[in-house]
Amino acid sequence: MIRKRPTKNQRSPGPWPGLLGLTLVCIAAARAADGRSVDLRLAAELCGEGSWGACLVESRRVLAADPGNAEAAALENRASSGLSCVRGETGRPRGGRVARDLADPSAAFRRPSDGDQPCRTRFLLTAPVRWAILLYRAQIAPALGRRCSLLPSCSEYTLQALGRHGLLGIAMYADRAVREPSVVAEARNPVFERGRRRYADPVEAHDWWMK
Amino acid sequence: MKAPPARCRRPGVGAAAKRLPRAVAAVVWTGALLAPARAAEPDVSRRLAIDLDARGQHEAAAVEYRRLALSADDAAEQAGYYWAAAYEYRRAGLSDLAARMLDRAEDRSPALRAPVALLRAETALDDGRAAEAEFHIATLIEGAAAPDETLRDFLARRLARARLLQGDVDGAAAALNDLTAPSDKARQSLARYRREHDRIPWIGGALGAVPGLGYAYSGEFANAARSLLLNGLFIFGMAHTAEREQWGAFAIISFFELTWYTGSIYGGMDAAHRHNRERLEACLTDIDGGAAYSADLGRLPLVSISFGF
Repeated sequence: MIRKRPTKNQRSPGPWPGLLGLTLVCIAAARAADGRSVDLRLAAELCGEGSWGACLVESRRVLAADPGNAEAAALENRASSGLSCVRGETGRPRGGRVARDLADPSAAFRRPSDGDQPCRTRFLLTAPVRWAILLYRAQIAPALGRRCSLLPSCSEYTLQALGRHGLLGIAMYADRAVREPSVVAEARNPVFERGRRRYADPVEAHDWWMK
Repeated sequence: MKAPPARCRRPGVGAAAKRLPRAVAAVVWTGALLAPARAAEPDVSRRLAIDLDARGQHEAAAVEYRRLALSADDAAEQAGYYWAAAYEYRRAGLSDLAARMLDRAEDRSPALRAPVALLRAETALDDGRAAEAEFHIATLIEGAAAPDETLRDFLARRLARARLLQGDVDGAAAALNDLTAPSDKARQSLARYRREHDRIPWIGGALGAVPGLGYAYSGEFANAARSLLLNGLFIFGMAHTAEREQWGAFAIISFFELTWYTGSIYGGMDAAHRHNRERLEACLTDIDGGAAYSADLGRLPLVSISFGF
């Protein structure tokens, strides 16, 4: 049998297109892997900086693409425990903050200030005053309605001041009660909350000089 | 017609060889489609960062810029993105992270020295490190070969601000002399600041021992009157209950009086600090004259800053 020599058009293309395709696939795969490694590096950096919320997001991003990634899982665990540590000394989330985190995704990127954590002595010394305020907030304030013109309200301000400065918080409350009409009259920092105009007067504006 | 033998219909090695080019073509197309899809990701991150910045979520925007910096191959591009991350961190009030990103930007590209120094100065001013801010601003002024008028005025005002924060009123006045468009308002405000005096907080506290006097020392007469009234009322209550030997009521009224009294002392100190701060801030506002800068994030990784008043 005589075999015909194939014409130019019928000739096999050889290994080159295959190799080219393989190279492109490898490049795409490498870039995809590189993209994941960028996210992982970023997560590691954020964890190192203590930005737990952002670290948690980044490590979960890596895990979404590669669920078996052990490093990302470890970072996620670390970020979760870091977040729970800053939420409360016992690891138990303190009232309100978790709900706020869930309601506002950007809250994960905000780090709570150290001043929110009262030390034990301060905690015990100020306990009776705090109980009185908490009783007022739970039983009396709902009946009276939101009457305070300032933000945070005077009871919240006092709780914050007691947490940061111990018994000095009582003096800070008295000062605020004296200043309140002037702050309202000056109307410097208006804040609209639930359709009502209030005036910002945070604790930070009155304790910056104590640091 | 006779059907061909079954073995001829079965795909053999020859048929596989024929199909190979098609398979290769499919692989090639897949690869070609995948590659641009990955290449488009930086654009997504960039758009997301700009969007987050516009929504005021500066820390999240900074994280996106860091991602862009990590995925960029070119050192100059990395520097640009790290600078943008620092810019966003500074806007988020996280000056330690901003400083870290600026270090990286400077390491990657020395050409970014000027924008890095500008952000360093701004971060230092935010944190109250006025001497450091002055150093960076002075470096910028010396380093700028031929600054345009807007940049020159911006730097002069910032230098005046840094010097005033250090208590150097003469130095601030000298810095304002370098303005290409002299500002009478800034000069007058500085002259007024020099003329008036700070209140001394411990004197305010000591005067607060006489209810209301601490507030009055700092010019808060309405607060002084209220403090005097409240303390007077409760002291009267104390005296009245003590006279009638109503010790239970006396104890309760004394607790509240102690609250108002300590509030008067604390208030005297706080009022002095408040007075000094407000005086300084009023002067600084006039010195700034609305000077501001903003980065054109759409042009990144090229760092482009515009100044305005």
